[in-house]
Amino acid sequence: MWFKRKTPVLGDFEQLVLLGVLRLETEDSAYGAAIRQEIHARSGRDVSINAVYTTLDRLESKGFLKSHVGDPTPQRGGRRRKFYALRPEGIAALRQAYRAFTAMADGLQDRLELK
Amino acid sequence: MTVHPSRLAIWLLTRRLSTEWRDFVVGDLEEEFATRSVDSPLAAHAWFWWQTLRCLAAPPPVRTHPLLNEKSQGDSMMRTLFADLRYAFRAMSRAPSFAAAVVSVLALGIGGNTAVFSVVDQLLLRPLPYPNGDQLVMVEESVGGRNPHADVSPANWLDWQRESRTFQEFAAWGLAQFTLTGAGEPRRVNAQLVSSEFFPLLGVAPLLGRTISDEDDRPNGPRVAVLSYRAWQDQMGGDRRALGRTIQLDERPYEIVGVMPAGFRFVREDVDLWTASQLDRSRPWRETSAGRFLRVVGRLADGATIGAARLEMEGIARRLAATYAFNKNTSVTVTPLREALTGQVRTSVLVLFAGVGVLLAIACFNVANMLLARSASRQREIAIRASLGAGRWAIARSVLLESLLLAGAGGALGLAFARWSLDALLAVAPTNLLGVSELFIDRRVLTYAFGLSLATGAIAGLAPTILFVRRSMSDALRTRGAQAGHAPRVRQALVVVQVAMTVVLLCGAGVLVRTLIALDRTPLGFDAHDVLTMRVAISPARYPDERPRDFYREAVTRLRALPGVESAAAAASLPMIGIPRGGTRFRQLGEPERPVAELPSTVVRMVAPGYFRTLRIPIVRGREFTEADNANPMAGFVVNETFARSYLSGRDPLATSISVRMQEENPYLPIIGVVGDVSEGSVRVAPQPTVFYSHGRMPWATMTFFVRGRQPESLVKPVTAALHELDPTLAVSSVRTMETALAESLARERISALISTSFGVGGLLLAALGLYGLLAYLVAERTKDIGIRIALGARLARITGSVVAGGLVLVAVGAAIGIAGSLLLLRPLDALLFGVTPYDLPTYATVVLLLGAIAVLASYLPARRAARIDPLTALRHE
Repeated sequence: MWFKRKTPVLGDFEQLVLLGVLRLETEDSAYGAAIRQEIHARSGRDVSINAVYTTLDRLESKGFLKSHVGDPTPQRGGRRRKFYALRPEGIAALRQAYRAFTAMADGLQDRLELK
Repeated sequence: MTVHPSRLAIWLLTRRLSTEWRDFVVGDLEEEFATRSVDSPLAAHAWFWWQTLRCLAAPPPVRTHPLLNEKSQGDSMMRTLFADLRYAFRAMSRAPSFAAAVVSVLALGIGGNTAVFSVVDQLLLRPLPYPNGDQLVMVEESVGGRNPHADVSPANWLDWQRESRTFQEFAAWGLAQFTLTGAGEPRRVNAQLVSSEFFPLLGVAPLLGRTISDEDDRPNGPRVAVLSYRAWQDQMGGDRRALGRTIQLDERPYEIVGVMPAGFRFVREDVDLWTASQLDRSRPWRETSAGRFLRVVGRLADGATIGAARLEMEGIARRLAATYAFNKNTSVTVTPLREALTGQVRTSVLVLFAGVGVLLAIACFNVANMLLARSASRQREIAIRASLGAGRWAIARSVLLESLLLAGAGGALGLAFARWSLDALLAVAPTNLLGVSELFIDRRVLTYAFGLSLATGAIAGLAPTILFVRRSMSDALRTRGAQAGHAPRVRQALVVVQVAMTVVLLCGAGVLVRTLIALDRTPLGFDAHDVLTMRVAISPARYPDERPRDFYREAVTRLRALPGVESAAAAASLPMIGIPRGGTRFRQLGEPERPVAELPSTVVRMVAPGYFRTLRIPIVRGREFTEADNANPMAGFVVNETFARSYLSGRDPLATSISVRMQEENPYLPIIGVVGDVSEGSVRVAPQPTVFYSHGRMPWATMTFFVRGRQPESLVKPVTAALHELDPTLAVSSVRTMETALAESLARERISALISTSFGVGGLLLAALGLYGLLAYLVAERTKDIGIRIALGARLARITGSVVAGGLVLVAVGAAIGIAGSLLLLRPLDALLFGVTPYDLPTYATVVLLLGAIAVLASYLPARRAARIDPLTALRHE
């Protein structure tokens, strides 16, 4: 790109994934399947695992996330997990997105029938 | 029990995903699958596959970090392949009716082929169920050049054994039937009487116990029996303690010493047990009247060829013929066992295979044509892809892949079709018809079907692919759907070939159908309507010497007294299909003495009084046997017209006396009657000279009853009841109407006519579709042209006329090639035909007319549609 944003804007699915990581990272269980299930349970969107990992990968390369690889566990056929955690840049981007959303939605609760 | 996700899905995932992601994604999926499968394994599987498919379609990207460059070649190939697949899927889902048409055409072709292949495989390709089965051969005597498949004299069998070097060993065997008693209802069982060499020669070990030993196979040796697996299951409930038990065969005790494994059989499917033949090997067999009654199977020595074996055996036969009067004019026939087993059906099955092959070829051409038509309409899309940088190979590959994908789907559907048609085939085919009791689709057949689908896809996709590769892309861009330049020539050629093949297929089917009609119309020589037949066997132990005659006389008398019975009689076998022993020598009184080997021979049928009346075989001269004749000594012989014509021409048969070599003493007796001819074996075979021998003179224990009465099915109960009242130990079998028995003997013809007709109809349908598709497409291409002509004042009739003429030209060319092909290719059918040659003009003419009619219809409909278009619309048409 020939221009540079200060803080890149997040897509809506990126927001969901980042929020999923934020919810799960405290229990140290922010990995693909858990994030997928969290999104499904809370937003009702039954997304595919490849979409989750594609997004996680993109967010990591944008510098919002960091990751580490866990040990193989028997319950998943001896395969390893990849855990994600938010970097400060991720928190900042989420904060900005949240602010923008709430600011834009402020006073519209009646019309959005959110009561 | 833990449920695991599909191994195939996991394999696909591991192939598709880069090493970077493999563990995380697959592990995540497996983990979630485990939790989901607790609720519903089915839903979990569905979920897993859905996730898998989505990952296959768009996996997480590969990082191109310079230090982490793991991207392997395999991955990139898989990627292109998947991209192409995705493209092909999308292209097909945009034209579902096209895809459905192609898939069903291919399913028909591949399915039919697979079904017939599984029959061919079992009959002709699969190794025989004996170790080194290719070494096994049937050895028969060839008597006087007339009967190359005669039975073998024990003396010759033993001499071969002594003199041959190309054979490891020979074993003798024969067929017998026994009445099994002491185990429930008296039952007729089929047995093979075998010499002690039999089982070691075949090389199959028993499942339990032992087989026939040298001790058993000795005159007056111990009576032992080896059971087939089926008989062991049915009669003994599969009880291992059956060994050592005693069963009664014809009221004589036999000890069960062994059980053969499931699936063991020799020549016949329906053998229940084996016993020792107990031949006296030291007896001078050539001097007895026993003649030839054994069958012999041999095993070639290691390294010996069938040709060497034939040469050696013929040499031995020549020496024996020179030494013994008995062997004069005899030679030996050596046939590989497989050929002997499949001889009868071999031709039909190979013809069938050729038929389905042609059908598949037609389907291929049809699909190629459809793909071409479609590619023409997709040219712009392809041109755009090309201009965006897709190479020719990339485009050709996607076309080929699409064709392969369609063929794969067709193959899968075809397998289901094959499974269904095999079941249908077994349902209509009587036992022993195909020589196999079950037909199945196993790994071999699956492999064949898969390979065939692949080949079909490649061949059908070849023409379109080549055209794409050769086309210059700039051409394609210039082309606007309307004037697709390349296709018509190629497509016309395809239609011509398709029509030609259909003509061959239909002509073949046509002559087979005419054969069936001719067979149905050939007079049998007797009246098969309203006759019930059954086989009855009395125990020789219970009825010694001449007592069977009294039993059968009494039985027939009782049957005649039953209400609804018009007449009844007994004979040794069914007319026409119950094959009697031919080749019995006879002398005429007053002719000079000749050695036995030079005497003329005749078929002998043993009948009891009332036989000709019951079967309504016309008495041409004299009379038939009466009760008074049914005694020993008998009054005389009855002969058929062919006998009188062949041997007594110019003489009065009723003034002739003959002596027939059936027993030790064969007095000269007068011929008392001449009856009408009945074919022997099948209506295909001309009637043989036949002498009818009175049952009273030679009372056999096993006879066939004929009961004439209206609604013969309703007679089954009273007749069997009356027989059992006479003797409760009687075994009654093969109860059926004469018509059913005849229908079963015609079943082979019926089925092959049925199958080839359905191929013919299938081919016709495909050709009609292909023709219609092509003509409709050609007309659509010329819509603008037609519009202009109409605008300029051309008449509708003229335009439709020219289109129809175009279609007819194609069909005429195809039909001409097809007729030439039929003349060349249908020759092998000759062996299956009756009353019609492979070059039957009416059949060929009908086929050509039929195809012509279809061509007119297929070209008229699109032409009419095109001609009715408003010229303005046509001119705007692109």
